[in-house]
Amino acid sequence: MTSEKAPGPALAGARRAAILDVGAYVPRLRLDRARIGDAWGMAMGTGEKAVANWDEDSITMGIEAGLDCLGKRDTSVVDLCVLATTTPPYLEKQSATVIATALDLARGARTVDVTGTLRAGTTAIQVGMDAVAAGSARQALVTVADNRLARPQSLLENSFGDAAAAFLLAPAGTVDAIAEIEFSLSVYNETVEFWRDPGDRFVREWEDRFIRQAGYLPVMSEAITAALVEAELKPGDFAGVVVYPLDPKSARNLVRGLGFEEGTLADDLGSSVGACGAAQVPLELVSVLERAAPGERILVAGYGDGADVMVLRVTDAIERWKPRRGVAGHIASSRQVANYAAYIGTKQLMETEAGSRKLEYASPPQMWRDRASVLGRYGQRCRGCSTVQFPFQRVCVVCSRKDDFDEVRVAPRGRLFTFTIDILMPSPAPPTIMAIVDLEDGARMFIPVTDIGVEEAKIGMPLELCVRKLHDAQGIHHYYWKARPSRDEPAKEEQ
Amino acid sequence: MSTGNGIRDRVAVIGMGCTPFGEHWDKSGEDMVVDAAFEACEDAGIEAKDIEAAWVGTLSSSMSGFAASRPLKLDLMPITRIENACTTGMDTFRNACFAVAAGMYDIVLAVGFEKLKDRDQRGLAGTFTTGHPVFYAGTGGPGAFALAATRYFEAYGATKEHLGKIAVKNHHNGTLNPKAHFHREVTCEQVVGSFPIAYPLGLLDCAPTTDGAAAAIVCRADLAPMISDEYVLVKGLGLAVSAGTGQARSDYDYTHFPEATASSKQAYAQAGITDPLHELGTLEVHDCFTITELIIYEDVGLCAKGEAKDHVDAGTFELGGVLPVNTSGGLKASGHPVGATGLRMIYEGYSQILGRAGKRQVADVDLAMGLTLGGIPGMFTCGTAIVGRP
Repeated sequence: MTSEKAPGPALAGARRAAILDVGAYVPRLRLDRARIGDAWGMAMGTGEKAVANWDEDSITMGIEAGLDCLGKRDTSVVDLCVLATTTPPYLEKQSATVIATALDLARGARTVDVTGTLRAGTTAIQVGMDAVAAGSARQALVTVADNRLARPQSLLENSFGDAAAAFLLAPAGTVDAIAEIEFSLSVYNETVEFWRDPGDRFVREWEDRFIRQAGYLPVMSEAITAALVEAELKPGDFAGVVVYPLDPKSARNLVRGLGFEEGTLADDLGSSVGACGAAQVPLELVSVLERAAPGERILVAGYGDGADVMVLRVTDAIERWKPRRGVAGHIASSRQVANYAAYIGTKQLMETEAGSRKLEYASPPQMWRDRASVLGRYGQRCRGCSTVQFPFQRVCVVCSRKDDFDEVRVAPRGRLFTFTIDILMPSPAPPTIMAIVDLEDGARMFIPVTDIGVEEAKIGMPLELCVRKLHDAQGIHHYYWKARPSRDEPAKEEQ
Repeated sequence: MSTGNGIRDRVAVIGMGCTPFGEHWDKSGEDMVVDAAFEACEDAGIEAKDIEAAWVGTLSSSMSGFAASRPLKLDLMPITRIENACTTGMDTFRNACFAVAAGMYDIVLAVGFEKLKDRDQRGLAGTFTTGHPVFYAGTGGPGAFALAATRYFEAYGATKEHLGKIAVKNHHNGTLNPKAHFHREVTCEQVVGSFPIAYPLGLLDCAPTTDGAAAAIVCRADLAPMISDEYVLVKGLGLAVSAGTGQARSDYDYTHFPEATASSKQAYAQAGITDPLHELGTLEVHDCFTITELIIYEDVGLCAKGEAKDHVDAGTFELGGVLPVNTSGGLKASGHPVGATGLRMIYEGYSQILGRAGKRQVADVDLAMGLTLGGIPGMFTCGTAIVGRP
């Protein structure tokens, strides 16, 4: 038997860092759990869950959360870009580089994927803390995204949702930080509870009683207790507690057992988002910060193959901080997946007629050559006639000047000029709204509109750009910009 | 253009051939090239060995000059393959005409064909590509033209019923053309209610996927009377290839096709036409989709912008109307074997002028025009040919 060392300073990572900003992403599509019940002929729970569309994955959701976190901030000081996920789109090929390119981060930024465990999100925050504490990064962007797939008809299918969160970290004490991470530690615990081997599409789990009794309750209790001792704090000092909810009842029992006050446990967002894997604790934390008051302490505990615990203190700057869309804004903007058959399309759970029609063209050299346009959204402004155009052209589309342009990121918003509802455009979930989108800066794009119902498409409607998968070919995910209805104007309609 | 009249009256079409258009499960592309080319030679009263050079047009059914040399056994002959999107057939004819007008050859062959039904694809969806994995990827024909329909409806108040009437007209004409793909009438209600393909276009707004070939024997105008009693003269040829700027410029309105205006103007100038609505006897236009024909009416100067729908309601372009358009049935009912289509349009004008158009014959046709559009709104190749009575 291996010796069991108590967690303490010798095991802990960085102890302190500042949180400058946070962001979140919850897909627009939601599935009412009653629709799952309809499909399988049995009641499968209440509320709804967030459903990443077929063209979304951990990379695209990580980009969304990163954009929501960074806003208009100067990205040139972001020296570390992390994606934490248990669902990386590639087993071999980094995901964080896609995110860094889409967020237009500096060439010298370090890119890191943290994966393989449900606790990847909190571990990635600790990786970011280490980097800013060590001085290897002035600021660290940590994105966390998950879209785990559960076996159809399982209880996990009922609970799983998709979401992402992001954190911008800086050295402790940085001015205008909205929160300080005062303390952090980790404990590992080798056990098998949830797993997938490389051939598994669906998450496997061992019996829940084993997970709860042998893993979750004792390991989380051990880590949280150790953190309280080390930090010289007691449960009553915390206004908020974010612990990974193995299930709602277990989380309540854990927190109550440790002596935290009733009401400090954060909403697990189970009735609106669902269990979102590695993004669960980060998403809950963002949600708590959206409503936090200066001076409040928050305890954060991630779980999976062990536990990560962090102690946060909210600063006075939180009063001047305005979340962008964040958790609340994204949850408020939704659209219902009409039925389980439509859900099958979004998750590609079955081979379908529509799904069999594919764009098969792949060319890594072209995608590499045009990466600034394809992912970075760079176009150009003619120095002669000032026309903004996308993608890059050698000769101006208006005045025919050659090679005389300033590179510009084209506007992220625009309006629908004209559209079609195209049943032939290869897609696992046809029809596709294909549109001419005129951006605010005058550039024009011909791109699909995603997350939209056919009845929503109207000439002149406001649209915003997002990175999505256009198609897969030769195992290559082709990420590109699409448009979607503005999520500033919440609408709850049928898909 | 030193004469100021361009190609006008410098070359003649002394023979033409055209296969039936349709789903030719029992014929290869080479079979159809043979059928069309030999029919054209027979019509001209020449033998294959009299041909001095050839141009062969196909979008994607073959490659290089072999597309004509191999089936026709035209050995060691100058043969050029032409590809210019859906205006391939028209441009094949144009290049053949230019070689004769230049004095290089006396008698040449222009043949265009497409064999689409050997492949497992429905329509031409997704086959159009700019050759990039994501830029403009997935652009299919119906969807691309539907963008124009949506915008045209918004701008001018046209409706699916106006498009439906165009399909009704062309299907009717197709019933009178033995070589057409379809020989059945459709009602406006059927068109408007047809299965949605790319809103606002339904299945019956779309031309079918068709096999076929068409061919012309082009010769010096001064030699034509010595070879054949029945021939037509080429009066004008236009070609306008856009730089694709409509896809990138937000001032392109998607309700007109400037390539069609430019191409037809080139041909009108050579032919001396100032009032096409009344001077042309028949007109074949590129109704790959009903909306395409509606917009072309305006672009080639038959009526003012926004007024095409009123002419559709008035029957201006029906058989018996002011200017019958797509007497053959058009792409809609005749079919659209891409490389053949332009030559098939010239074949229709040739037949009308020579009084061979049977039940769809229009009286006293002196001038006939064909116009093809290749590509998608914002980026077209557009070819025009006008032929006339000597």
